[in-house]
Amino acid sequence: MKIRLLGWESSGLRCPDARVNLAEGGICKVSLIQMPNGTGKTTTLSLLKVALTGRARDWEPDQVMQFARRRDAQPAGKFLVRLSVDDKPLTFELSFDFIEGGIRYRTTSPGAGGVSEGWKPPDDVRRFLTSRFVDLFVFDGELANKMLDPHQSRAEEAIDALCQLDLLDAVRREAELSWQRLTKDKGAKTETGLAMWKSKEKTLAERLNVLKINQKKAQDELTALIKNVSTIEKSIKGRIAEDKTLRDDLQRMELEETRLEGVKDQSAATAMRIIRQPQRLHDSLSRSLSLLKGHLDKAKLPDTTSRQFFVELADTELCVCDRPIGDAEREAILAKAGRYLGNDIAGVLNSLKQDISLLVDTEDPEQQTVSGALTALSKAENDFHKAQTERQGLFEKLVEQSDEEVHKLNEQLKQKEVRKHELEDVLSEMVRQPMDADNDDEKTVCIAAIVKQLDQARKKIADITGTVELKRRIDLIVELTNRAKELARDRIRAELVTQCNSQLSKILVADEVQIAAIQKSISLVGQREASVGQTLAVGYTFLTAVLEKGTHQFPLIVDSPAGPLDDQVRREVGKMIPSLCDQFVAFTISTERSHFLPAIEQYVQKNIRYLTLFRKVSGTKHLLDSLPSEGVNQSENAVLVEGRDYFVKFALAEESEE
Amino acid sequence: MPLDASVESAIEEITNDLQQSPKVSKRLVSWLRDMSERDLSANENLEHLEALKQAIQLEPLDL
Repeated sequence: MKIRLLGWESSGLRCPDARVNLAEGGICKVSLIQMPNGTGKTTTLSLLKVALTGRARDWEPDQVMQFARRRDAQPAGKFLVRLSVDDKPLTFELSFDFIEGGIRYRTTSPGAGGVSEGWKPPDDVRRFLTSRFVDLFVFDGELANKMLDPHQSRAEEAIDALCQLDLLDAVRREAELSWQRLTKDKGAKTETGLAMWKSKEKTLAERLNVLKINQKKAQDELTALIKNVSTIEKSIKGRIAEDKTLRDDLQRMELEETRLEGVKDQSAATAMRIIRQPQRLHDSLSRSLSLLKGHLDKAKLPDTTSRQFFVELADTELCVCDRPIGDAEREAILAKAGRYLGNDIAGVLNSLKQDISLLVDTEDPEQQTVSGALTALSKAENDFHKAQTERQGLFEKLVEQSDEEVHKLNEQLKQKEVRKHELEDVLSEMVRQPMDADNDDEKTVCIAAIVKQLDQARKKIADITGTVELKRRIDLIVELTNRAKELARDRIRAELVTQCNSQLSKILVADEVQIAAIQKSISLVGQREASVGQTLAVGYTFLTAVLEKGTHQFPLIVDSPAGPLDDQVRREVGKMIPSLCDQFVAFTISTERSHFLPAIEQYVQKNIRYLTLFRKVSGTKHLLDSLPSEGVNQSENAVLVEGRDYFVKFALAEESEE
Repeated sequence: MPLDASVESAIEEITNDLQQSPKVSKRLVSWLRDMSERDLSANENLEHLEALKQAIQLEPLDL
């Protein structure tokens, strides 16, 4: 990425109205804009930052008003900055509204669809136009101070931004975000959670195995028991009393008991069938259904649907109340027609009415109701139990009259009957449908409930296994990016310390200062604080070294590059600046020229643009009479002169206030 | 556009330290290079992330 500053224009703002063109005849390696104190250097630098970063989009009115002129206030102002990004033009225009206190951006970029409202740089340049980046290449003395301030982390931020270490943070963030997206609303995701579910699965699988073994054992025992009971019953019947009448009675009673059991089962099936027919649940329900149908008929529903009525009404000129229906009324009627009965509901109502006619209105009043069916079932049960008791009584009587062997067989029979019922109960519990209460009961004997729990545990394990593996991958990416960033930064810091110290020993010959370490900020050998000159020299040296390491090219825009430096340091900084970057733009004052300008000119030679900008005020009135014949651009309140001769001769005894 | 040599060598070293194949470091460096050249879309970032995740080899869990 190669970004170049082509120029800027300002009007109606605190800084003078001017159009500065840095690209005419080609971009120079060094552009020096000489502006006396009070001409708006700081304001221009701020405007450049604001335009490039888009940071004024959410400004409050009082922040906007800071850029309004104090005298000769204008209702509006404009600032425009022109860039070239990889040789493609990009322009940001800020329109200030000093009446409302608002600000509006406009972006012009052939690569991003031409002119568009708002701050909309192309995607590939957007990440370089953040405050973090822009504050590095639109450089002021404050940044140098911050780099040496142990309470700040500007040195580290500069390394991260220019050496692209922050890309590793971007990868880490992407990985963490993807984890959050994928695991949103899910439960246990940890290895502990997985271990817990695996343990549960093992317990349930073992339980299922035990239950199936027990079920088979019980089933086998029951089968054998039924056979055994039958054999004992036959033996008893073969040996009981000789009285043929009593034996015939017993046989008859057994047949009657079987018949009555059949009647009982039939009555139960009939009752269940009737319960499923609502019109036969109770007379009042049947009457209510007939009443509902009558009301629907009376309301002529659903022959003409209400919704259709409103749709048709909206198509007429007059309402049913004879008032005219205009566009607004028509729109409101159509919008609200949806609230009323539609064709879908009409279909349901027609079907309901048809069923009521068929099942309720034409029903035989003699037909059995639920109540009747339940009474019949109750009677059938009583009859069956009565027959069973009678048959058992006669059987006991016959046994009593028989010999000791029959008594023993009868005792055996009773015991086996008890065991048979126990087994039948257990097997019935094992094969029943699972209930809600079984959901978390690992000790239930209901096989279907255990199978259901086991399925859930296995699904959970599959789910967690996937997420645990994903988490391990994400954790590894996070660890890799964090550790790689730390390692790379440590190495870059060490390289920068060596490189900067070598450079500083050449620059600050008389007032040598050396860097001890670069952590979050730069710390110096043997001193806590540095002079203004030392700070600026260390700042330039550090920035030069980091920019050299970076793979992108930015213009370096500096306010008063040599202001606080002594003559020797100015010379060294002047020599160093050409190597800082491909485009160096400096806002200077006339007193900075000595020692600094000759050094720059010696190393850059003719590739320098000289601009002088001053306000038209009483203190500069005399300058207007001695302007050169060429290279002069005047606005209502300022003069911009291009050329070396004027630049080097320019001086003001008293510089006006801004 | 090349990344800083320190970044690439640090990624290679840590990848090795984490007992991962060089495929992991290559895929991460490729993602970073793409990022350094332009603003990647959400889908492009996701594709790089998936490729990186697939390159990672995990030891079986000992539960």
